[in-house]
Amino acid sequence: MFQYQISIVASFPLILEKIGFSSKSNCYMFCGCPTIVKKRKMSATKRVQQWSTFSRMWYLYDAQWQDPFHSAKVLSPYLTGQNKPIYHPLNDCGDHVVVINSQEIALRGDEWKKRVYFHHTGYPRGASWTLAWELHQKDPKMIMRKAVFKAITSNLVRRTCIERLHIYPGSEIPEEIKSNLSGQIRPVMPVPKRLQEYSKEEIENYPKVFDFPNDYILR
Amino acid sequence: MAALWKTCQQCLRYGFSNVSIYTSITAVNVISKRNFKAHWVAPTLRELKRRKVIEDDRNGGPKIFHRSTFLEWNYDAEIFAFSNRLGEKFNDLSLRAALTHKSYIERETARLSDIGVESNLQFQDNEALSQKGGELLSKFINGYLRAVFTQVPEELIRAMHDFLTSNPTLETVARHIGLGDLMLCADFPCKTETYVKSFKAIVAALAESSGEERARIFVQDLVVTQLYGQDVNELWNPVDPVGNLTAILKREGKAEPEFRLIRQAGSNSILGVYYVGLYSDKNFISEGAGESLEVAKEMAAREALKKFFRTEDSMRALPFGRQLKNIQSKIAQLENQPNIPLSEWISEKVMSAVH
Repeated sequence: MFQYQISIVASFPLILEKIGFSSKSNCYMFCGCPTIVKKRKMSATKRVQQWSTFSRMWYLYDAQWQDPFHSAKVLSPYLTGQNKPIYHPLNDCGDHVVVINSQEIALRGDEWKKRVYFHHTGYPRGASWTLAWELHQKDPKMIMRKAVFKAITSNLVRRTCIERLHIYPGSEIPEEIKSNLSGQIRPVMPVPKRLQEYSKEEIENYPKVFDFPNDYILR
Repeated sequence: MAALWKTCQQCLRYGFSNVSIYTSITAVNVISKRNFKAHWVAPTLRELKRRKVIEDDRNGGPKIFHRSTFLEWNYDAEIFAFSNRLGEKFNDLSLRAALTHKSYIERETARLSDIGVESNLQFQDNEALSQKGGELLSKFINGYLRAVFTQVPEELIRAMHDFLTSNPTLETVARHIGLGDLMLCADFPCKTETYVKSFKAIVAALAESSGEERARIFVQDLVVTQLYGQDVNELWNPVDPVGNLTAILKREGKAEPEFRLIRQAGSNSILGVYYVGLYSDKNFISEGAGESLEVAKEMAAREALKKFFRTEDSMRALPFGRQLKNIQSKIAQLENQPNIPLSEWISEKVMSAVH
């Protein structure tokens, strides 16, 4: 959705103005001294271009039978905005990601039994160790959320980015979120088609090397 | 032992090739010494600067003096240097007249009469020259614009002309060629109108001295170049782009414009963006983006008009200098030939690009 017409060099003054630094000053972003925001009058075309460049995309991700940790690695660049040429850590250009079917995620090997989530309330004897399957039963969104949270680099923008992750255990999405969607992220693992999902015609027409004769009795 | 170990470490780290056992000779004739300033110097200077800033603010800015008040001011030399700097040949009298203002003449005659000296000054002011220069300026600018922007309606040509002949633009040009030091005027710092008048008079003086051809090139190089980097669509765009677009397509015999939503994101959020495409008889013409459907639709119509008029963001750069060598005659011809107005615009009627 964003247009690459504004070069990264040209966009920096606009980013600086957006976060409250004057582009004419000698202050660099990291010196921490805010200067007066310089408002420029933009032409209609430039204004619209700016708007569309900094707009947020809404991606849909189907977590059906996907590994949450591998998915998290794929989703975190979208949430931080690292897929965009206008990316900067302070730019706050992350997109929204809507994850559906988080109930149906697939952990590798015996991780359901072995992976443990630690939590401490802060009070004495407040430590708890919860197995992955127990946590999933309590809240089917937590494993996905925790995986994405960890995949995003630990910094102060992480909390903002995770707010833009919307997880739903099933395939139902609220109407207001659904109307926002503008793209889809390809699943990490290709989802195999189950035998029940093949139609009768497809099964009959499927090329066979060999089949038993009709009057053959299988023991 | 420790020293040996350290040396060995350094050798290992940097390699024998990088470490030189001979000290390098850097500078030869430099005597460096430390500068000891007393403890009260810096604070004193700081305080003086602070007081100066306050005083300047009270007086409405730092005091500025005309260049002629400094030493080595030779007006004749400056005049000579001015014409050489521009690479133009001026008649001495015309140039001096162009730079002299009525206010200066009045002030000087009043001053001399106060003293009691009879003024035999034969100064000529730049009123007539600036009038003529203004006309020439308009003519040359219009000629260039119509030759370069062949597809553009006359309204936009007029808007670009108004921008180029506006006081801020001409003042910028006048300041940058150094008229600030050369003008003879009563007011200092000189007003915008004074600069503009002088500049127009310079153009007329040049036309008188070297001919209209030179004056045309002068205006192209100095004034029209102010349009470079300016989005011309900012200067003018039709009030009702959708209506105008429909009219143009109708005149050309094409189908009515059809707007279709191409993409959208975040429709429910405050950062929603819509992309609307414009089609005529299922042929894609342009697309526009916006925060709402109406804005996107209008931008799509504007983009379509920009496409027709060849004033998109990706349009060809304006030609100057050597690129205009072959079309100066065409420019001269188009000075008196306005472009088609928007109400009659049709792509068959507009001529192909000259450059």
